[in-house]
Amino acid sequence: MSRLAQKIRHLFQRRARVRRLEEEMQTHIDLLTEEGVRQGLDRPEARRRAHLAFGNVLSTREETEDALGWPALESLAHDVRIAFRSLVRRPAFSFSLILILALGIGATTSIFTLVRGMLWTPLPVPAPQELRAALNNEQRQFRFSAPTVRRLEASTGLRGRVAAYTDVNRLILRRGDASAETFMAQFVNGAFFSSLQLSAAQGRLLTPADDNENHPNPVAVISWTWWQRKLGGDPAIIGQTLRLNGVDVTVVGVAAANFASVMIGDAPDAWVPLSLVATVRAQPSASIVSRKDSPGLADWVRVDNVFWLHVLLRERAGAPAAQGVLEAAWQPQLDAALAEMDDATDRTEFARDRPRLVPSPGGYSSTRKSFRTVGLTLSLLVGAVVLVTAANSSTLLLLRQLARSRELGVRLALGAGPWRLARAALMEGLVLSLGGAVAGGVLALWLTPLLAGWLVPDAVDSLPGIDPTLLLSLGGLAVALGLALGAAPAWLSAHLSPQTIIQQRGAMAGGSLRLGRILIVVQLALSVLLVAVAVSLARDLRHVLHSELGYSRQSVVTTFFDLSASGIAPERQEATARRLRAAAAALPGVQSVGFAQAGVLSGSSTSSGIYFRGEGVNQPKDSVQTESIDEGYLSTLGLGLLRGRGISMDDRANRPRVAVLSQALAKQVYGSADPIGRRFGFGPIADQDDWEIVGVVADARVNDVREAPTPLIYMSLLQWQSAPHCLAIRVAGDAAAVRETIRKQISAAEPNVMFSRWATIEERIDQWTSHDRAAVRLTAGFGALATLLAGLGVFGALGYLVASRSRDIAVRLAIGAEPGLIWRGIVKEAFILGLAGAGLGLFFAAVLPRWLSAWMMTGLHTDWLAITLAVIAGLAAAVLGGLIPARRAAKVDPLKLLRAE
Amino acid sequence: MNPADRIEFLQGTLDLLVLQTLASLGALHGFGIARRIEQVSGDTVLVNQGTIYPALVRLEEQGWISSEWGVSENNRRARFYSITAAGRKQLKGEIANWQRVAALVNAVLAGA
Repeated sequence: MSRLAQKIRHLFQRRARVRRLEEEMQTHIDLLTEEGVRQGLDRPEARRRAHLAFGNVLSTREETEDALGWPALESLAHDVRIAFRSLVRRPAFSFSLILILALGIGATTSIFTLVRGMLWTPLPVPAPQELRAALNNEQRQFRFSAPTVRRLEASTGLRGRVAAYTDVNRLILRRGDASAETFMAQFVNGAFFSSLQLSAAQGRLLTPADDNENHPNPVAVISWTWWQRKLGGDPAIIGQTLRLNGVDVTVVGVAAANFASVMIGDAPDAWVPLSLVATVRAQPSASIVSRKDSPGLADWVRVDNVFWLHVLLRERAGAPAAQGVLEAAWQPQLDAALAEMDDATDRTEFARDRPRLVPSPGGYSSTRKSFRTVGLTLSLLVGAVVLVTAANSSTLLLLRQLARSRELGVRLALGAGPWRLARAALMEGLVLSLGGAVAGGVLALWLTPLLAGWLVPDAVDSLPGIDPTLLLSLGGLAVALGLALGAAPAWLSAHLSPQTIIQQRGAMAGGSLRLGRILIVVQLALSVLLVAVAVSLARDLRHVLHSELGYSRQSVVTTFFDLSASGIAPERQEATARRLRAAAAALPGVQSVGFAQAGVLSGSSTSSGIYFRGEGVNQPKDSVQTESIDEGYLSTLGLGLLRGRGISMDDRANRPRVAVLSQALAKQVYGSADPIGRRFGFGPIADQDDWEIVGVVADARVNDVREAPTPLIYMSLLQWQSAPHCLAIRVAGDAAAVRETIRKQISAAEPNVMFSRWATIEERIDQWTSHDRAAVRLTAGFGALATLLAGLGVFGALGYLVASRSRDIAVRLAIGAEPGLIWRGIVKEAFILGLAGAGLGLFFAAVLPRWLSAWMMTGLHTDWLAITLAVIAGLAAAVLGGLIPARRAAKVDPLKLLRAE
Repeated sequence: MNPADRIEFLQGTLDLLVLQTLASLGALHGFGIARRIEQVSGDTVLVNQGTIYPALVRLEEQGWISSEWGVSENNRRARFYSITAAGRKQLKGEIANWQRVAALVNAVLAGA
């Protein structure tokens, strides 16, 4: 114990002790000198002999310091100081290395955060490994009827272990006197929370007793996020009422803070019992199989032919296999659906899709499947970039160490141990990589949401942040990188001897260059690939932004609304819509107004199976998208009428049913024949309710600005009997300038209607392509970075070559070689590297789109112009990277070099 | 003298010599210790006189010697080292150990 105390005391007295020992050694040498003088030597000679007898003062001092307790700590601090000093002396070099490392580390961290969040984070429930989601053949969530869920709940195997839920629904919320706001609700069964074994942060969670149609006092559980964001975490919320679509619902609890949703990327503000779906007039997505009218909302909880619930089960070891229990419970729903179908092929087709239980510890995510490939590919790509970055940085450090070899040689000659120099090189690598890690961490904070927005837009909110373990592994990565960075220079330092350095510098040109060159070629290839992808994406985007959409861009404002959800009774909806149209048409500058059921670029669409009547028609294999509109819609949007007429005011419910086809559909079904006057229906047999085609309109990209024009049938809202959800207003001039005025006036005119997403078509296109733009920016950024890195790589390798061969070069110059010849030789080396890299990159860029499209929709294709540009960029980077070493080689002064030796 | 004639030191042997010197001569400064070892060994031991300083630091760290400032024979301030009780005990053990090893090595060499 006292030994330890002494050591600690000594540690604090270190400086004093070091000074004391220096003084002692000085005294020692002085005593030796005086002894020599007494023996009759002159003073300089006596001093020389004293030094000889004493030995190397520097190394003795170093050894002595090492012997002074805990030397590692002290010399570590010393090494760090030295490393800092030497890095600060070359700010541009150090800064660019740190930047390169930061980009590499930041990108890796972001990608890894996303991959972890998307693929590996389990739900915050006990034993998440027991969870099973029921998926269909396309790996999407299977939809079940409410009776199927009840049969599951009643089964002996799964009692109390079934969580059933709808998709998340948009409702209208009013709190007290506050204005209406949107509210996302998920309808769940009573045992939802208890099956998942979740706990409440406040109050209680839902129980099976709450899930009762005749419950006198409907209840809901709100999410922690909503509670914090909207109510500031006010505990008084428990027991208060929320008015959802005009229905009062009591808040009984707040879910746990870490639980956002069972569907990754789709987090509701509240969970509401299933039985309330009709009371609050929500319209969850559902598949309905019915040959008569669809069952009313109130019947959804009873009938077996409306499929609207997803399930997440807990499968326990020892219980009957859940798959079997599930299939047994599902069979009656299948039978009910098949009984509603006439066509035998339809029946076979329908029965083919069976629910399959899949282990889902992380809940369900619609993006996960596609993300798995993208995320893993990106991880690999970024990993490769980081690896190459490290190799590159190491080459640069090595080059610099070589440039300093004379200084190092002098330090060696003065008695610094080679290990000490090696340690200094390692320390520089560490300081650089830690700097890179810190900058990379900051970069990752900024980059992660950006990447998430691009790769998994719908999951952005539910992704976990950058967690401590990740930061720790980041630190580990940085240390490993640092050691790797410092390794080559350290090796070089440890193998230096004063003589080799001071006498000749050519001794170190070794075979390690071969690996370096392969790395540079791979790096160039990667940069060519990334640049090709970036240019190709940018060109696609440009094409999309400038291509003909089929409707006006500048002069149309659209907004979306839902009269039912706004709490307007069905019988008053038509009058409200009329008033709305009149209010819009009366605004100054407004040219026309139109309603549509879905609208353009709205994200929603409906489609149905259509049977075109008559001979010689080419029946579409899939269902056809339908849109119902009023008489003003086509002209407001600027959808051009090609033949016949559009929908008119007279196309009312009691009049003959008419429809307008898009050109693509008309061509697909009727070829060059005239479709006007032809008929179609929604059943296989022609009847008097069939629809007559009265016109053809120009094609338009209504769902997505990228897709091919959609084959589409336009019908009258009044005849199709659907409610309008989109209001389009055409103004004279630029709509963006008047959008706010229009929004305010319309909202003031109809305060009861909740409008959302006011935007001009141009703005909608911007939103629609924001991910594409992010993708272009991202790949362009990575491409530029990779090209820069590749250029630096060439610079590093050839710089090393020139530095280690400068003696040969000097000799060649001395015996009369032209400097131009030397210069050309180096540039040629760079060009060869560039050619090899560009060739490999060309191969990647040509093959990758085809290879990727084998597993996913990428929208990438082989774009030869982009590839050519990328190849030129890669070659240019290589040649530019070679120019500086080439100049340096040509400027070698033989006299100076040879004299120095 | 030819450096090859100097004795290659086993690690720790120098420490033993320093302890023995201090035990027999009392407090000495670094120069004095080096000089004494050279005299006794006939200049065969110390390649560099400086090497005793790391040895002194090591011994002091172990608590086997202690040091204090004093005045040298030519009136300079100098650090004087002296052996501690723990150092004497250590020296006794080391000497015994050394003799055992030396006897063993001699026996083997004599036998060969």
